[in-house]
Amino acid sequence: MSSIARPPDPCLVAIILIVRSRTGPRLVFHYPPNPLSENRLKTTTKGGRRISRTRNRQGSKNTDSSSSDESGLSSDEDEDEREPHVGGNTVANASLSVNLNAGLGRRASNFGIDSLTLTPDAASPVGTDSQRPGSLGSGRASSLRKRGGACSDPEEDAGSDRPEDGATGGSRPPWESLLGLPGSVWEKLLSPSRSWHKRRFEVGINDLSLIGWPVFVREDGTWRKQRRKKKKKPRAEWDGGELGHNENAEDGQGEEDPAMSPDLGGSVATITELTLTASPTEVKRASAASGKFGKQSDDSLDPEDKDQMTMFNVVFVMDPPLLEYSTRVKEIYENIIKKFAKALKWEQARTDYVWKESQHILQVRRKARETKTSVHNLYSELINQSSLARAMYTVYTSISASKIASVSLSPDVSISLQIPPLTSTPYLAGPTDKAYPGLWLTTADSATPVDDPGTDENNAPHQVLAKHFALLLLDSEAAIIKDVEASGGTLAPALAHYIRCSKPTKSFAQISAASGIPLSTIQMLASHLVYWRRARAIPPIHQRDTYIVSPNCDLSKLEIATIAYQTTFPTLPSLPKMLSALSGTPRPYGSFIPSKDHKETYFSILAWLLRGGWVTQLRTFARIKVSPEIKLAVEMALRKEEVDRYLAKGSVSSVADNEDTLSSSDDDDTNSSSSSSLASHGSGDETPMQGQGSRLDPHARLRISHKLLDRSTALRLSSLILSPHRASPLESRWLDEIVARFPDQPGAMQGLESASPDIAPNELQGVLKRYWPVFLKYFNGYDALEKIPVRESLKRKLVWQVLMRLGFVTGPGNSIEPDPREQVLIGVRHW
Amino acid sequence: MIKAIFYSKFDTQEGPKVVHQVPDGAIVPSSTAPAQPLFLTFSDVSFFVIPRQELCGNLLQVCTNGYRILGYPICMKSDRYSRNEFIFNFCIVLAEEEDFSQYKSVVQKLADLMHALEEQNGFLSRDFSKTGEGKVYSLCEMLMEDLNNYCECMIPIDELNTLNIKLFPIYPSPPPVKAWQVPLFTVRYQAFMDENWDLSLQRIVPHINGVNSVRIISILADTDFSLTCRAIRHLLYYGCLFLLDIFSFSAIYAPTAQFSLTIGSDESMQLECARYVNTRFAPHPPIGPHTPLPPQIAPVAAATSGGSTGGAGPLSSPLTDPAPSLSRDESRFDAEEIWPLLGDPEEAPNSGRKVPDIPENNSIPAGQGPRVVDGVGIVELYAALKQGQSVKQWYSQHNRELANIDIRRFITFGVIKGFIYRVHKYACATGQPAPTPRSSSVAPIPASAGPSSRATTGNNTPYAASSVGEDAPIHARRDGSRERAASFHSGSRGAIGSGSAPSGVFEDEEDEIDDRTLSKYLDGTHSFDQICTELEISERELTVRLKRYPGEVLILHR
Repeated sequence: MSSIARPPDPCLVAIILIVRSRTGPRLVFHYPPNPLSENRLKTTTKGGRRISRTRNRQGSKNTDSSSSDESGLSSDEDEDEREPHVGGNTVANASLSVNLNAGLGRRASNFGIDSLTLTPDAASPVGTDSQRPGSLGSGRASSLRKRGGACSDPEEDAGSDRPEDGATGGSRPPWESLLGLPGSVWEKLLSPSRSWHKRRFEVGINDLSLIGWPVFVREDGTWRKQRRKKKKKPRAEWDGGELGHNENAEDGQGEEDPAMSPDLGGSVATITELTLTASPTEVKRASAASGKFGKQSDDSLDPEDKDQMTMFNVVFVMDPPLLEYSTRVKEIYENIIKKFAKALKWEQARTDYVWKESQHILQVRRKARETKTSVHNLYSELINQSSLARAMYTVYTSISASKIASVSLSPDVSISLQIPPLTSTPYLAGPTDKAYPGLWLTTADSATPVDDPGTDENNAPHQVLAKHFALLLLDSEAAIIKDVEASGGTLAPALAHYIRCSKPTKSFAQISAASGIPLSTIQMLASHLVYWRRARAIPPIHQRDTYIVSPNCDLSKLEIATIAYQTTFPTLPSLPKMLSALSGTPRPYGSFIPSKDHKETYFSILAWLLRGGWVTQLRTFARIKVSPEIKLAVEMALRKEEVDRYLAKGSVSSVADNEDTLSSSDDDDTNSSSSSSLASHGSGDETPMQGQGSRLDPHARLRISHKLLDRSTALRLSSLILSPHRASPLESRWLDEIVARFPDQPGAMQGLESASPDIAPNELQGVLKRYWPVFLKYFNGYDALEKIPVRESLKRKLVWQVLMRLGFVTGPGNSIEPDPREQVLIGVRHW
Repeated sequence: MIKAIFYSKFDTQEGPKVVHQVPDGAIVPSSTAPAQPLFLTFSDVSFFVIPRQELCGNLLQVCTNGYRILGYPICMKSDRYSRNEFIFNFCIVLAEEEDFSQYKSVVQKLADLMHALEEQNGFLSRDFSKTGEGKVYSLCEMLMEDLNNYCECMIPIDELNTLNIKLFPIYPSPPPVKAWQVPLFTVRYQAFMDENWDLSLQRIVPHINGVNSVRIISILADTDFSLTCRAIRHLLYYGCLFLLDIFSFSAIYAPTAQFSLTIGSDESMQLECARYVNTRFAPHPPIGPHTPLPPQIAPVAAATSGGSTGGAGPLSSPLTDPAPSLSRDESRFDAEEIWPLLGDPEEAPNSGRKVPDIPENNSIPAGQGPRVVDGVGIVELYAALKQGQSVKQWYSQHNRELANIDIRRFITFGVIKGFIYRVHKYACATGQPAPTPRSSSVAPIPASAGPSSRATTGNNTPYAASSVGEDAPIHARRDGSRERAASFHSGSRGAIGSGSAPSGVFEDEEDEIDDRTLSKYLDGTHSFDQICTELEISERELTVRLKRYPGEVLILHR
């Protein structure tokens, strides 16, 4: 069950910015203002709340009788069920609170079943609910909160050298503490030593995990290595927000990263404004001079402004479920934390951005403290005034809602971040697995042996899209084009043009041929759209292909979807009707299309259904079956060769020699013979064994019969050839034998053949032999046979005629009388 | 695997300090240890090991240098300490990428115990032994060794205290159990059940057999339904159970994407399957005529079986039915005998693929002997399951191959291994008026066969074909037996043998389910299994009832 890939779940609790300067570390900003406030409330009600809540929910919404009164058992399902944010001392404005809830809707991470969890401390008096404290504020950690609450501890304030601490003494404004701990504790905790420079910084407190990518100032006081000697144009380190998925570079390699295809690199980067023609230092100086923000005049009066920042650390607070800890942390670290921090580092190097913004934020906070502003007002002010605060706010709200965060740090620099979602799965969740209904169920986008015979590695997530795929837009064409054009960027015209040309029925290669856009451009644009969740790469839809209702479709959305469908296709059969039709005996989609005039409409229906994960293509996979007869024939042939060789050497040859040949053919790696002209050994040629055997000397005969005995068991059973393109020598002999047995001319070979007169045109016989070598590599059980016509540019009808001869009985209208010698495939159909 | 354990405390003179470390020289340089690279730089992490007061009493962890340090700092306040407080921490060092979940509780428990010991007699503050010596050191040493080697430890500390720790893996919490699911043991529960078990669990367990649904189990065991669900969920948590669907001959199964990866290429799985499904190895001879099929369906046995076997269960397999993966030792059977024999050819006049006879001039003995369904044969049988085709139809096409195969076990095996799945049936009321019923008695559900104005007319519209989708021939011939089969397999009768009429006569006058009750189930989210279980009717009764529903009802297979 763990093999099921899970879609990204951000588990994001908060984002904290810590900077360190000569005066010490400072917690500059954190968002949301009051994270996990839900859990803080929880301590007062001690878990009872959650359970009763769960029960309510099941009573109201759940219809399966089993769990209706199954009280506390469903522990981790009360997501989206949290009370609307009841911030203790904070009342955020509407939009804020919505976002807060998006982030807070999460499981209380207790694993196992309540009382049954046999943890070592089961004997300890802690209640079941608090065995795994959900956060700082829950369970066992309540002691921490007590201490945290009593944070006007004089010693602690004395230890802090912040000017405003001295100013207000004990009465600390609410935003100075976070998750029940005073800011000074966080400052200490989250400003690590230099050994973490540009490395993953990971700290855990109970069930919270704090991840960052701290950046330290260089010894020479700059934030970035000087590259004067390189005259080559320096590029943005994060390689452009929108194309960020091309970035595979490791730390610090950003500049050299050749990830973008050279011909497009210049034209498509959305940060072309940033494409620096001058050396970094010049730019830094230039923009430092020009990039004044209005508020800087305030700061210049501040004694702090001579201070310099030595480190900044954007820390993401997460509460991943224990069992998914490493995947969740890795996802957010690789996709968000590192990229965001790199962008900040870039801007810091360029315009001293982080430090200036931090000073500005601190300034606003100081004022707010003096004027006793509410948290809500402070935060809206900060988010309005500081682009860094706004960036953190955007990242938090978008990422915790599993959306794409489009962040602009300055007019020049913007970056898009996301955790790439899971777009498809080949696994159908069982009754005990966590299911993700609505997810596209398919094997179409996993790598298969035919795709890359060299590597057995699983699908690299964003490999270049194969040219035989088609693009399925996930939104209406008009909407996407509108967005693309609104976002501007140099990529926009190319994208819009391509989107207009694109059709889910045509593969990239076909569209390239039709529209004149180079294939590599199409692939780049398509993978761009796919990465940014605008489209999905699918096998081109075709009326001869079969589509079924996906076992993973989300029927709970049926009602809403029916309405949406109705508005899109008002005059056509309703969604339930369509699904009902498609869920019967699988048939090619074309048979559902009432007339030629409906073809286009029905293709758009199919696209609509595919987009919502309602249907999936039913694909055919096959392997070659080797029957005992084939095996026997090959065995006979091998023996005959042995005997011939033996006889050729003369019966006086030494036993050792004999042994040699025998054993070598045992392994069947005598390469020369393996794929040799077995065709000459037609079954008609075969002589009864006794005749030859009697001519052998007794010794050899004994050996041969031994050899046969050893294999006799296997010979009696059929077997499958698992990977025909990498067939072993013996398997190659079998394959040759199979081909040799394909009837050349109708009715020529044996009585059996003449008994069933061949209806098919004469040429089909030749066709079979001609295409067998082409098709062979697809018969591996992993490559869908639907690929053959697309990839080999053959007519579907022809391909299926051949396949039908090879053993597919796809429908009742199968006119060809099967010839058992040709029925060598075992086919299975799934998604 | 624990890489190191160290005990650290706040020294009023020296600050944070490592007092004991196992292995020696892992965290801080040691004069007694051979020169070796340190695991990490203690000064980098000392803030996490001995943190500020506010953080004490929390499980803290930090990653550095490829290691993960788990600690639970404790701060004790008392005037017997200098500066009136004593801060200490026992830390466990693991490899960073290792799963640390099970060590969290170890650290916590260790801290709790040490806290208590310190409170009792100053166990830690009075330990002035040199580094690498003394009770505290040997405790750390034993703890690490025992946990690494045995995953548990029992270390006596003094006459009152013992450190008992066991590492438990953490499993995901299973989803709620549904009434229409069918549990099947993966283990022999008799082997480990004892009288200390929960009472409901003890009552429920004997009825778990891979045939009874949860609902039936709760009725048979006479236990509260919700308790039954809980108990089954507990067993699920520990991986003692699989959940299956209610098997019936009208159900549809189809291959999943796992097919080629598992049964399609794994010969040992094919063997395992053969052993599990071959009726020759059934632990007890089946009741009634020796056939693996429901007598109602087996064409030969249909005449002889009669009513006597009707209720006793058409499935030949005995009621206690361990899951295949843990089946008996295979050495007992000859490799050849494992494969189920083919039935007599006469029985299968319609068997599509006839194996051609081997040419007579071929004298190799290997070609002779009993005809069996070999590994490839099993793969072919599984591959022949498909959407839109009931088990019954599948059987009728392959009855020769299936002659000595227990059908239910065959299906169950595939479901357990995940290479086939049950295609569930859902009903969806569209709110449209019901189309006029067809006059033809063969049409399964007129409602679902409603001709659309857009679709081509006639019986062969897509919608007609998509309806309940049972081919006429079988049902037309054996209508009576079908009803009986249906009434058995529903698995949802109020009680077994509670007067469910196998005659197939439906009493319209009583037990009528009103439309409102029914309509709740017709939103497309309730499978037929669920509806049947909760309304306590058979699938056939439901089908008939749906026909009378005012308004169009479409059937979805998923």
